[in-house]
Amino acid sequence: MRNLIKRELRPFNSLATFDQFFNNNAAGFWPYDSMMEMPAFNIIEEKDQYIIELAVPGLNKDDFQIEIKDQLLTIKVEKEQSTESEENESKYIKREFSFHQFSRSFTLDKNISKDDIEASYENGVLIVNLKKISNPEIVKKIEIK
Amino acid sequence: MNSVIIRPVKFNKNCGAKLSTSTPLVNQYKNDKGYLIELMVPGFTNEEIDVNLEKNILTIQGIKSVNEVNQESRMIQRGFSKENFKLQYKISENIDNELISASNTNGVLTIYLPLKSEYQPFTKKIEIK
Repeated sequence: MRNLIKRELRPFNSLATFDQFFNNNAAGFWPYDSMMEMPAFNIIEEKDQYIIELAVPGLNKDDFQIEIKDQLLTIKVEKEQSTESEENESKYIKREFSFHQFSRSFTLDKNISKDDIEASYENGVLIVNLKKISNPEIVKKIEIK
Repeated sequence: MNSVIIRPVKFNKNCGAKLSTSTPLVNQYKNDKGYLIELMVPGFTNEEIDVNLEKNILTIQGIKSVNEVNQESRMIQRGFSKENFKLQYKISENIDNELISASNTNGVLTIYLPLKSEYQPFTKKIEIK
């Protein structure tokens, strides 16, 4: 069932995936000496749709670019780090997360309707709803509501 | 005893590297006026987060009000969870407890811990003989 929605194969770019493979064994080297920049995600299957939840706190909905190219759904954020200038005199003691720049792609199965994809951003979670109907199209932009 | 002003005193039992645990990731900043803690709490609303200061222990709790489990849904892949969490910090004496403030914006809980205005860091010049 994994190929219903499949992530682009870049396992070592992603601490989330990496961590799932090794589970507890990763405790020795994460998160204490590394910052999380690639957002973790959940994929949920419902009767008539799939839901991707991406944990990306601290952004605005305008920061996201979501697009579909062929079978690839890409969620991208490219944001200038404005906090640097605002808090010039502050320095980090500890830094475990920052989601100013990332790109995360998912390969969509053919039974997902590309016309019917919706996204919303709420409490730091980007939710993408993918309806299950087949209707292939080439490129489509998705607006975040 | 200088830079470690704020330190966690207690973690959840699941503390470790697992992303699906309920210990939020943390950023900490410091400047002349105080400290700023940012906690990653995606999926939690203001009402679901409780920040409490008792004596010198700051307790931050996330408690989900609604159980979101849908019988017809199935988790294919889990990378993070919106489980309840609890974090505690010991606040040092140079923090002005009255002025601690917190806000939650887009899944980032920001807690500001200002230093007491009369606080002077202990400095002493040591001569090399």
